Parts: sequence; C-alpha cells; structure tokens
Amino acid sequence: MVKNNIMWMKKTKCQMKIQKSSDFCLSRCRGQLKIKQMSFMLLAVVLFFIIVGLFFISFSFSRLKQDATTLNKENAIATALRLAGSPEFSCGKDYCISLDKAMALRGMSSYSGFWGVSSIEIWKLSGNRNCTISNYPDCDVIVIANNKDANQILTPLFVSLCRKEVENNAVYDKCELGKLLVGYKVE
Amino acid sequence: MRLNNKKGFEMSFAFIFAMIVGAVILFLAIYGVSKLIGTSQNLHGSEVGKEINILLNPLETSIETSKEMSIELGQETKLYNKCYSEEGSFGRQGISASLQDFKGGWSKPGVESSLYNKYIFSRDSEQGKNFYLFSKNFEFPFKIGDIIIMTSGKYCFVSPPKVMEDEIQSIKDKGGMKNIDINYSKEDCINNSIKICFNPGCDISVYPLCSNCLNEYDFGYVEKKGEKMYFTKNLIYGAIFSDKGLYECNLKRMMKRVYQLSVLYKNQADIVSRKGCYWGLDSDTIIFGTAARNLNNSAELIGLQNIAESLKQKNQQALCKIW
Repeated sequence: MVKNNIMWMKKTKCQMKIQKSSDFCLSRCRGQLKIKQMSFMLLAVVLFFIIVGLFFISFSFSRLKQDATTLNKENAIATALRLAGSPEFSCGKDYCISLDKAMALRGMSSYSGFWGVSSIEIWKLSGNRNCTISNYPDCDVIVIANNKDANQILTPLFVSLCRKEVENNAVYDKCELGKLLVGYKVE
Repeated sequence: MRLNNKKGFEMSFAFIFAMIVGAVILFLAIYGVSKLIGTSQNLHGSEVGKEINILLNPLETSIETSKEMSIELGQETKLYNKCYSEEGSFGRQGISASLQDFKGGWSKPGVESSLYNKYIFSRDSEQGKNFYLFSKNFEFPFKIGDIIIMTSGKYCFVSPPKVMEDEIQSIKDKGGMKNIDINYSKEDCINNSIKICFNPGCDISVYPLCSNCLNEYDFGYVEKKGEKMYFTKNLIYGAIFSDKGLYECNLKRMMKRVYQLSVLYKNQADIVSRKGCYWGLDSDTIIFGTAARNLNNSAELIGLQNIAESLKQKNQQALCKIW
C-alpha cells in the first residue's frame, strides 16, 4: 500500500514537472513568435523605406537627365545666337558668317570642343553638297565640328553667308542666305 | 529567490529590441536625409555653375562694344572663379557655386562648369545674392573676345578719366552695374565700398603709361595690394575688378586665342588668295600670334601693343582685308 502511495506521489510529481515545463515552453514560444512578428514588421518597414528611397533616387535622376538636356538645349540656342558674332565666324556685320573663315576653321583641330556643343554646321539653302578645299565655293555644307553624338538635336538659325570675291580687280563681299545649325546632345 | 523591486519597471526583450532597432532606423534615416540634402545642395550648386555659363552667352558682343546684365539668385551664393591657362589650346576657366544653408554654413562647391571661349574677370570668389556683369570687347588688333566683368561688392570710382566715366555712366543708364558709384572725392564714397582712384592712396590705384596716345589710359597699370597688373585698352576693367592671379591667367588665355586666330587668318588668306585676293600680312600675323602666345606676364604687353598697332595700320591699307 505504502509502495503504491509512493508510486502515485512520484507519478503526480512527474506530471506536475511536465506541466510546468510545458507552461514554460509555451511562454517561450509565444515570446519567440512575438520577436519573429516584430522582425518581419521591421524588415517590411526597412524594405518599404528602401523602395521609397530607390523610387526617389530614380525620379531625381530622371529629372537630372531632363535638366541636363534642357541646359544643353539652352546652351546650343545661346551659342547659335552668339556664334555669328564671334571672331572665328563673323564677317564684320551682325548675324553674318564669313564662309572663307568657316572653310579655314574647318580643318583646325585645336577648336574641337571650344564652344561646348555637339556639332556646328553651315548650310547654304541651295543644296547638300559637302564642302572641301577643292570644290569650295561651289558647295553647300561646311561641317565645322561634329562629335557624332548618337542622340543629337540641331538648332537652326538663319544667317547671312558672305565670302570674298574678286571681279575686275575689285574685291567685294558676295552674300547669300543660309542656316547655322548647332547641335546639342539629348541625355 | 525572487526580487521584487516595486520602484523599478520591467522591460521585456521585445521592448529593448524595438528600442535598439528603432534607434538604428532613425539614425540611418537622419543620416540619409542629411546626406541627401548635402548632395542636392551640391547638385544645385553645379546647376547654378552651368546656368551661369549659359547666362553669360548674351554678354558676348558682336558689333556692339559693351553689354550689361545682372543675375539675381534666390539665396546667398559664393561663386568661385578659377583659371587654368596651360590646359589645351585655349586654357580653361572653371565656375563653381556654393550655396548658404539655413544654419549659415556653406555647402561644398558644385561641379565646375568649364568655359573655353569666355574670359571672366572677378575676384577669386564673389559672394552675394545679386551679381552684376558687363562686357567690353577686346581687340588686339583684331577682335579676340569679350572681357566679362563679374562683381558683387560695392565699388566707388573717384574722379575717373572722362572716357571711362562716360562708359560707366552709359552702362548705368541702361540699368547695369548698380553696385558702382562715381564720385569726385574719396570722402563721398560709402564706407564699405572699394575705392578706385587714378592717383595713389586708394584700395585700387590706376596709373597711365601712354603719354603720346589719344587716351593716356590706353596703356598703364593697376596697383592693388602692392601688386601691379599692366593693361592695354579695355583690359583696364579686367585689371581693376580682378585678382592678380586670375587677371594674368585670363590674359595668357586671351593671348593663346590671339595665336589661334592668327593661324585662322593665315588659313583664310590662303583660301582667298586662290580667288585673286592677296592680303600679304600672313607671316606678320603669325609672328605676332606666336609672340602673343609666349607672353609670360602682363608687363610684356607694351611690346606686343606696338606690334599690334603697326599690324592694324597695315591691314587698314591692304586691298584685301581679312579682319
């Protein structure tokens, strides 16, 4: 009988121990679950901010590219307006380009990049034959500079194109209407 | 044994974890935002530099002799003007901008905007919200380019020569250079202005060296902080408003352009000679251009000035004029 009692008490003690350990396990598991929940939440918050940040950066970079293109365009227009007055092009009158100077400038590599634009071309309104030393002045297009940018837009400006001619030993300026094309790069 | 401290409070692991991670996230967010503000200020500074480069285009003269304009920036800005005379065939000028932040500090200067075909004369850095600019053409003996003067401080000219007074007054009449005053005595100038005299005893003093010229200030020198800057004709403005280093550097850049233009005129003369139009000044121009390119400092200008004058006279007499 005593033996039985002792056995029963041992069994009860053991059952109580099991009960306690299962309670402990349950509270620990709940804690772990809470930490897991919080980690996922934090991860979501961090990911959200990263995505927002990336979106903001890509937006500001696209704005930056637009700004760069706008600045290039403004620069090309302003350069086109002032180029005819610069000593390298001017024939001495307003909005007048000396074709003789342009032909001389054509071969000067030291001027590449001097005006900070993608290309500078002078077109007569008569055709599209490229000018070389051998066919000048019976030609139509003088390419002063062209850095062959893939995305390039040309800004046109109508100007007088003058060149020196000699007739009966008298030197005079022969002028005609033409276009000055200044190209800028689209970013 | 169990401790029961009623004054203390219990912090769960989750609470501590949230506090630490929250602090880290907040720190990263504040750090990121401050970096972003710095970058955007730097970006804005770069944009200002580039925009100033474009805004200067209308200042280039064609057949007119001078032009003026002012630039109003929304916030206090420092413009840095740097010059590199040895770069490439023409040298280079770099303009960068630094903006004032809300705490009164200055942002890092933006990316330098490079100018190859402009000559801006100013102090090494100009500070303000409004910048006043004017340009004068420079012929030596053919047109070289434009001398662009950029100022932000106040200047007072004390009894300038008549020619200069008329030039400044005509710029002021068109609404330009509001920061420049003309007075007949030093005492009439406002206190914080930089005084420019045509005799000793001012912040900037101008001395003539041309006794046989129509205008005695056609050649001379400007003395500033004990340093001399020699000028000819419109370069007088560059010497007055510019720091010595920047003036000498821009002068060298202009002389490099003289050389390139002399080569261009020689090539042009070759082209027109095939049509029967003979200029005959090819070699004189190249010699002059080479001498100009080798100019070491402004004191050597007087020798070149004499050659330039004789070249100008020869070109005027030529049947086939190139410039």
